[in-house]
Amino acid sequence: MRVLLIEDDQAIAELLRQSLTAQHYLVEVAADGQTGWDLAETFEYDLILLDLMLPKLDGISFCQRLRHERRSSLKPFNLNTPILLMTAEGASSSRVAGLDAGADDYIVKPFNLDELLARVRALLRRGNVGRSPCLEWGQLQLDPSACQASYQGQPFHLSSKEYSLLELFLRHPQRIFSHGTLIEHLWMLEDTPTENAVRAQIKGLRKRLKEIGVEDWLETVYGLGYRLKEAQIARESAAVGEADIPQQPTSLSPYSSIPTNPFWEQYRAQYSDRLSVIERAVSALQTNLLSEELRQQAQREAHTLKGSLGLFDLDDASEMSGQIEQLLKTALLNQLEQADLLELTSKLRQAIQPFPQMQSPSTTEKGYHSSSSPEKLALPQRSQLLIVDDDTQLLAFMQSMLQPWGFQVALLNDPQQIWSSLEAVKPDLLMLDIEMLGTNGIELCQKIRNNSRFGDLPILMISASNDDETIQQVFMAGADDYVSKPIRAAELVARVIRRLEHAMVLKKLRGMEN
Amino acid sequence: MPKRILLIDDEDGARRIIQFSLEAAAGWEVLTAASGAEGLNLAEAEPFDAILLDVMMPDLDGAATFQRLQENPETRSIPVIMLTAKANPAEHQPLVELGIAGIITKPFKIPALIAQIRAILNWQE
Repeated sequence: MRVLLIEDDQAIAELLRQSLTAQHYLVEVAADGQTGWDLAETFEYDLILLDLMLPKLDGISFCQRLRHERRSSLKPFNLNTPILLMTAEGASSSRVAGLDAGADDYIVKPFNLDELLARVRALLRRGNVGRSPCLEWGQLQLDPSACQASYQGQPFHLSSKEYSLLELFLRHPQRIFSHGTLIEHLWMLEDTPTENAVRAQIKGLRKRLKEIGVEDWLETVYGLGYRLKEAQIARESAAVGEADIPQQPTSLSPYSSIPTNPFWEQYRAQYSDRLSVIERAVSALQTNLLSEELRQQAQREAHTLKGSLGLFDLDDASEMSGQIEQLLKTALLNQLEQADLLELTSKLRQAIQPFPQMQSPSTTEKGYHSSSSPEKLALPQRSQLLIVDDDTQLLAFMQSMLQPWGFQVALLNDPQQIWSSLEAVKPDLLMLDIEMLGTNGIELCQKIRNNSRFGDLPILMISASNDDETIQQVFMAGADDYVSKPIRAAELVARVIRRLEHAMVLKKLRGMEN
Repeated sequence: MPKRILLIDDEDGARRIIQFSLEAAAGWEVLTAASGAEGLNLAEAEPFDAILLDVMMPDLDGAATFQRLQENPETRSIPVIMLTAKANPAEHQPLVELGIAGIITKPFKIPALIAQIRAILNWQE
């Protein structure tokens, strides 16, 4: 994990650097706020340790700039990176100012080093993974507080780099890491390796884990990078090596490994807090200490959860919330009802637990593995896409897959309006369904290719069939690529990015010719 | 012109997902407000074809917000659909008697929500 330490007191900076390095963190030190800012603008960090009083740019201003800066032309580095503010001022006003400015936590100097390291670990967990202090993948376990890896309870040794790689994947279970991103996270500036060296590290880690019986834990996402597999799926499937990754559209079950709802991760913590109120009430009830006020508050929270969780496709959780609400309506519950309430609350917690895939496979609930935000990949984001399909639900679904990557997505469900939409949207890439009511996507593709204004536009066709004849027609019509339904998020994103990169290269080459 | 909807709901998650879904799946333009007071200001400032109003909100709840909308000549004619997690029809009656256009019970699925809004408001798009 990569940490930016911004501290002007050399002695403290050195002490922290050594302590963090001993915990396998990669630490870069800036001695003033402006230098720290320059680094934060250029590189991605997993955590920023920030002194409050700094020359050139103070800690509060740094936080405000980082959290509120709108740098649309730059990569969205570190916008959400946790910040731990270090302050020598015990006054609550300065702590409040720091937290209001966007810091996630603070620690008052002089601090206990163990406490600081614990806060660092807590912050790293908060933004990215479940709240368990240990990272888990099936029976593979990583304890960041002891820097210890174990499998089936047996500790095993990893090199420092292997440990860091594994920790990174476990902390970001849904994120795809390109070679470049891995280098950014795990290697120092002056120590930048080649892509081959990164491959060698991945290969070494795979081999090391295979030796102790862990296989098929990491998938290679074609054209993008590496991603941790779901523990449950990995156990069921046979080993699939890198060479086996299909390069053509596959026909896996619809929406497998795709977050059913792109918003869930964003709001999970809020709903978890609501559930905490209910848990407090249940706990108080057990000891006959439930106040009327807390009972009513818990009932209101259950009411809200019932209404809202269904929106995130958590139907069972919504129903359980309704049952809890009903039970909480009664001021005096008998023993049986109290037991029901306890069980329902516990089940509800399991249903909305952060990152269920990090728990044991038996409790893993499929379908809610929403994306850790992939916007930090160095890809041609902010590109404008236009998707044309007469199926509005599919349009919304594709939008939900692409928007988290930073693409600007325009939707059109009436292909008759294609020309005016092209003029209005001026897309960098067009996605066109083949079978639309009253319109043949392939013919439309041909017309666009023959148009003097839009003839060079990259076109990706969307097809329900992937037979040879259709594929041939797609390319004969001048399309650049195609995606077959059911659409898989990783494949769709990979193909979109590939087309955009290809178009950028062509543009550059043409510029050189002229 | 796409229909313009004002969604008033104090809950961030519900507001965001309903807004996104109505915009993406129905093509409507959706503005949101996180409280009854904020909703009243927006409704007065901009034209809307309909208002989706959550019943249970702190401070100014759905019923009070609706009454304030009715008192204002600028906003009186905007049809209002209430969103409530109360499933019992008997509990809906007082709301219906206020003169709202309709009531939709949570939890709902987005396609059903869109269909219900269209049905209540008789929107033929």
